[in-house]
Amino acid sequence: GGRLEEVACLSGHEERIWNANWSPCGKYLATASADKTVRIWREIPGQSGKWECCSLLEGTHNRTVREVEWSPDGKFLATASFDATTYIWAADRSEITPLLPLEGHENEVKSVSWDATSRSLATSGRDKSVWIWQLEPDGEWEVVSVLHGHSQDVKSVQWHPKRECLLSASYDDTIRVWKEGDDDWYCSETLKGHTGTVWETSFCGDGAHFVSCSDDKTLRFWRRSAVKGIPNAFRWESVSIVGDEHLRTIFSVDWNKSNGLIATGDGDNHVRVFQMDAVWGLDSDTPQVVAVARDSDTHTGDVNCVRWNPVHADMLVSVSDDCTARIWRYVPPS
Amino acid sequence: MENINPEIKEVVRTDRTLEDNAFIEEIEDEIDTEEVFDLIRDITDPEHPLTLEQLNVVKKQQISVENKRRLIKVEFTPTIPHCSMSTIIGLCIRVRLMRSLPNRWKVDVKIFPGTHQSEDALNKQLNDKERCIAALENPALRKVVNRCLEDCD
Repeated sequence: GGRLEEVACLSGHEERIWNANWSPCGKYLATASADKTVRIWREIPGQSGKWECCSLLEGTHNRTVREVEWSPDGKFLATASFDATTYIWAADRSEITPLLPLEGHENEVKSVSWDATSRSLATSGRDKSVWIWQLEPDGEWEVVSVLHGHSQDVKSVQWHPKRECLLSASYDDTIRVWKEGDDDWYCSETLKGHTGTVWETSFCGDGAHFVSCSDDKTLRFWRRSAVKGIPNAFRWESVSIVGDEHLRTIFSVDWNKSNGLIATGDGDNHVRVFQMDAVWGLDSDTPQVVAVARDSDTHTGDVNCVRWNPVHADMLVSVSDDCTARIWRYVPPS
Repeated sequence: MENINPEIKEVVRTDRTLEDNAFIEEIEDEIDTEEVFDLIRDITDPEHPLTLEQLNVVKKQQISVENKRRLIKVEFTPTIPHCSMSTIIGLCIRVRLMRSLPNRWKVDVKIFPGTHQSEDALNKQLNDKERCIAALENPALRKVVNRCLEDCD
């Protein structure tokens, strides 16, 4: 198999790091922590392998910052916090500055996701709801829809890369698929199969598949299939399961949009990399997924999030309860 | 108060012999069920001025430790099968172990099978780390937990 080489270990956060995301240009990394701050990191120009914290966003949230995500156009940053707000930040200036809070969730906001146009946001939280927000021409954010359906808190939301649908993953063990109808958004499907909390989902590059990870220690792969007799209609079906690799909860999964590798972070302190078997790949009815690399027990706490760099396809970040973020390079088998 | 007159267990303390302690210091990474029990036995019940050991909520034989995987499993027995304090008790056990052990140790806190009517829901809640951590950011709840942990150490 391949291997994961540690490139850098970033220290600075004072409490567990929950989430990380790369800027669309691949240069900057944002990390969100229980210390109520967000840190922005970059490789020091001219010093390969040396990283620095170039910005500390503090004083805005007064509880854990649970997630942080850049808009695909690089202009904004959104942060979701246990303080019940989602903040929008301007990221296209020399300094990242807070613009405005999106208020509406009753309590902890657990996830935020930008759509492909950078003009819509989805958020979810402990109040069991999913909210869709839209940027108006005057710079205000309007609530487009408040979606109810999950019977428990919603751990994460994820837009389809081409905005065909929105996925929400929940403590109620299901994934819901939301679509835009003539009047409003609606739940088009409730996907069952996991036997524990679903923590996160991630689409492959073309959006024809996605993967979900769960407290039941499995990864599930889902495929978009045409519905017979109804043109342009599709539903998602579970096509394969990875059930014998993880020993504890899988908190995070990220599907590399350029090379198809799948990374996971789990409650056993590990970062793992999987790939579709060449023979039984994505187009097969039963795609086979094989483990190709694992870190060497470097984190000393749960790995809460893993994210591939959108530009440097072999670069991966993992963040942990041990308060560090680690940058890895995936080296394929020679 | 739900259980006005709980059964109280006579607590007998036996201090470890010197040899035992020396052995533990040498292999600092190893933990046994007795050490885990020592950490949680003096947690005070949220409703009674009694410890979890006195109320028979925690017992040494309901703790298991897997040193190789750094895994600790604690099962506790609510005093009555519909005890609404079970979430707080479970949270106290988890917080006590979280604060006392290096975070590479993994802790599972569960209801002793068959002793609570909402066993599955409680087990799910107590082992969802996001929920536990968010609950502890709630000042009122944190105060209750801290009060239950006051007499430990």
